This record gives sequence, structure tokens and C-alpha cells, in this order.
Amino acid sequence: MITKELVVIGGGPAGLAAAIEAKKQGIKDVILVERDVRLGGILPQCIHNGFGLHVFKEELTGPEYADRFVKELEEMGIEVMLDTMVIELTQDKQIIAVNRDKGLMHIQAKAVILTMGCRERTRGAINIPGFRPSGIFTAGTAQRFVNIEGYMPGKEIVILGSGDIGLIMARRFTLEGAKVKCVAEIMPYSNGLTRNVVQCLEDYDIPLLLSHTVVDIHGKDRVEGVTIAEVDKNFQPIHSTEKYISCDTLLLSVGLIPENELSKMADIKIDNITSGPVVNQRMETSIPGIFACGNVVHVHDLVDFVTMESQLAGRGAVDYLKDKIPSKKHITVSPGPGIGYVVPQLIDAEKILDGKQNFFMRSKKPMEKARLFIESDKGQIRTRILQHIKPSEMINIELKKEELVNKDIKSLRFFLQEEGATDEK
Amino acid sequence: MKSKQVTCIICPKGCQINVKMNGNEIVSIENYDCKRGLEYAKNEVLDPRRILTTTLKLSSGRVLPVRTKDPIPKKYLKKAMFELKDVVITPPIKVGDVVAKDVVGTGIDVIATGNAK
Repeated sequence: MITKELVVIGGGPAGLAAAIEAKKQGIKDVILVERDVRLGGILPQCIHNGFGLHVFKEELTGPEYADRFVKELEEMGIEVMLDTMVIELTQDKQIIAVNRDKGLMHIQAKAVILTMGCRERTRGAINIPGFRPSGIFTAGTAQRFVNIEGYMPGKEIVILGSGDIGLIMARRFTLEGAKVKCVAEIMPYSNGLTRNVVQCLEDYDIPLLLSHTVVDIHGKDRVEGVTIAEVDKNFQPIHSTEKYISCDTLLLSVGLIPENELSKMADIKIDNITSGPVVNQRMETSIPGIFACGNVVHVHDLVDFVTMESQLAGRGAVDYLKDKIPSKKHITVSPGPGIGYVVPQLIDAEKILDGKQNFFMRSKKPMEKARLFIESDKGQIRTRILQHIKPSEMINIELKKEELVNKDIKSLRFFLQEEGATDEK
Repeated sequence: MKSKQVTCIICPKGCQINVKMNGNEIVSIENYDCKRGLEYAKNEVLDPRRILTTTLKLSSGRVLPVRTKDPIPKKYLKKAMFELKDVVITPPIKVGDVVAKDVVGTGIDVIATGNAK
């Protein structure tokens, strides 16, 4: 049995930032366990620019963003175990990990930070009928083939879903000489950042078909084409609008799911909406001493926010290791009308770090202008006007410790009211 | 007189800015909401530029991620891809190393964004 003060599971942007922060705050015995042969998680394959505007105030590519943290980690002498898979986690913070050199390893940790990230939804998750030929990839898998392995998965591409990875891959394939025929999106609006719609599709005259989906996949050994159709208000395909598009490859960019097998194994409480652990003000899960941050908690749109959240988790773990007193009094935080989810879901106001608390949330639909209400069981705390709200762009609200502490608040609720719309509270 | 539609990317509002042109001269700019949008629209019609990110072959196998050090004219993106098509890089390479000079005669270099040992 190996014993460690802190074990970080996952070496992506969340794990890197959390491990570095914990070490900076004085925890000497930190180990980071990563299943891939290199650190950085998804960043090394995200070769496009647009990372780091908040954290570094400059525009970097994914590999460059990862490199800064990997360098810092190495300089600080943080122990890393690559090519190692954690296969079990218990409530008592016992970890079983396995790799080729050492076989099975039992590690007893005093604190654990979960940073396993997320994975892509696949064809099975969205039930597209038709044959099962080769040539159907999730956008992230195609991205790995092109940007890491150096292979092109196809020549004529149709992309389903306008998430950011799908849009980025539309541009990437076009630059590499493939023909991207269209991007079909089932929603009446794009799920990607405006900047990606402009710079990845409009720049290359790639059509974005809103309120459209793929209803059939043709081809037996290899994809030969897809049938797309417009959908009605209930997202049901309108058969009279069906159209055949020939292609050899279908990319799916249809959402991400936090990867929480280990969390569930340890009986950590999972939020049904985010599919990630319920966390408190210092990113601690329902089990004291086990923390979680990054996409394993909720899917972020900017890595910069993952970094900030993970630094908080790193500090939280240090706090826990110094005084093992668990949080007692908790304010429960919940989403009201117009809001999809809020993280963190629990707050111990006494223990808020640095006198301020960040809340991340997503709207349920796009709104031009809306008022965000922050309301407790003891009355309204604040309201704020927000403009140009989109589900794809996370809302980040900061409350001061004074607004929450010593008021005997038991619950907190965030909700949106579209300006000019009727009261739907 | 020609008119061009520019989708502003400065903020999430995404203004559809309308620019009227007479040859290479801007006659009018309409439908923008702020100064930054006005500036963006001007650049987008007069000299649109993008950072090009791509990969180059490594002599050791697989590929190396790279980017242009500064944004290059949008019209040269494809040309730059052709110019870089057959470049093969020999490791070791560190983030920031120049891997190709003066792409499409723009005076702008291509730098590595990843490491290769």
C-alpha cells in the first residue's frame, strides 16, 4: 500500500491546475495519475487558437496552453504517473490503479481531486437509424486522428451538431482539402460560439442548416451518404423535407457527458442535470476530502474557467488537509425558471475563500435581454441585467461573502426573466 | 456600389453590420452597436486576417501542431496550407521554435505550438 497526502485523478487542464495549486499552498506529497501517455488531456489535439484570454490575457492554442501548466508542474517537481488507469475509488479514499510496469497498485490518499473530464455523446446516444458502416466519427475522435496521428478520416464530410468541436473540425477538414458539405443543427440556433460560426463556417462558405437533423445513414461497408430533414417545433423530422447528401464521413458533435464512473463507485452524490458530482463552495463532493473540478463536474465552454475552478479545488483540498473539520451548515443552491443548472450546488458561507464566491450557470434558451434574480429564503439578494444570453455561453456571477454569511440563509435560487416578457416565476 | 454583411464577433450579441463599398473605399457602415464593432467591420472588409493553425509532418512519425506567429491575410490561408504541405520537421522541437519562415511572402513566420523529442 502506497500512502499519499493528495491524489489527483486525471492530467487534463483541471488536474494540472489543481495539483499545481495544492503544491503551491504547501502540500508536498501530491501525485497526479493520468491514463494517457502524455499530460494535457484534450488540449494537445485542440490546435486552434482562442485559449487563455482570461488566464494569461493572450491568445494561445490548446497545446501552448497545456505546455505552460506542464512546464510549471515539472518545475515544481510534482510526481506524475502516466499511462496509468485508476480502476477503483472507495469512500475511504483508497485507490486501485494499474499500469504495465507496476501492475496493480493500492494507494491510500488523505484527499482526492477528481478531474476525469468528459467524453463525447455517440451515435447510440441520439439513436440515428440506418446501417453501421465505417466513416461515422465523433468530432473529437476525428480531431485526434487529424491533429495528433496525422490521418484524414474522409474526403466528403457532413457534420451533425454545431457544438464548438464540430465547427472547429469543419474548418480543419476544409483546410486539409476535404469538402465539408454542411453542418446540420437540430436546434433553431447554433450551439457554438459566434466567433466559431463566423471563422469556421462563414469564412469557408460552409452552410449551417438550423432545425435540421440526420434521419438516415446510407452505405454498407463505408458511409455513402446521409438523409437529412428539417424538424418541427417538437424536433420531429418533417418527411416532405428529406434530402439525400452524398458523403463518405459523418461527424457527430452532439454534446459531452461528464465521466463519473469512479465518482459513482465511491457513492458520491451526482447532480441529475449536470451529470457531475454535487459540489460545495470549495469544490468538495458529498464525501469530505474528495474534491472534483473541470468537465467532470459540468461541461465548460472555456478552458480558462476550468483552470480557475480547479485552482479553487486545489485550495479546498489544502484547507481540508489542514483542518479536517467538514462543512456543517449548508445553503442549498438551485436553478429557477430560465436557468438550466448552477454550480456549486451547496455553500457553507462561513468557509467561502477570499471573501467571494463564483457561481457558474447556463440559461435554458437564448434571450436578447433578461434580468437575473438571485433570491434566498430570507429575501432577494440582488438582480442583474444580462444581455445576449445563449445556452452555449456560461454565465459567471460572483457574490460577496457578506451577502451570504450570518443571515441564516438556507436556500438560494437563481432565475431569469426575459425583459418585456410576462412573469413566469 | 457593393454592400457587404459582416457578423461581428467582438461580443456575443453578434451584430450584422452592413458595410457599403465603392471599389476599395468604405462609403458607409451601418447597424453596429459600439466602437469596437465599427473597428472590426472596417478590418473585416479592408484587410481581414486570421491566425492559421495546422500541423506539419514530423520525420519521426505523426505530426507537430504549428501556427502563424501573427494573423495573416485571410485570402492567403489556402496558399499557406499548400506551401506548408510538404514541410517535414526533424525533432527536437520546442514550443515557440520557428519551423517555417515568411509564409506566402507575408513576412510572418510559422512557429511550433507543441514539443517533439
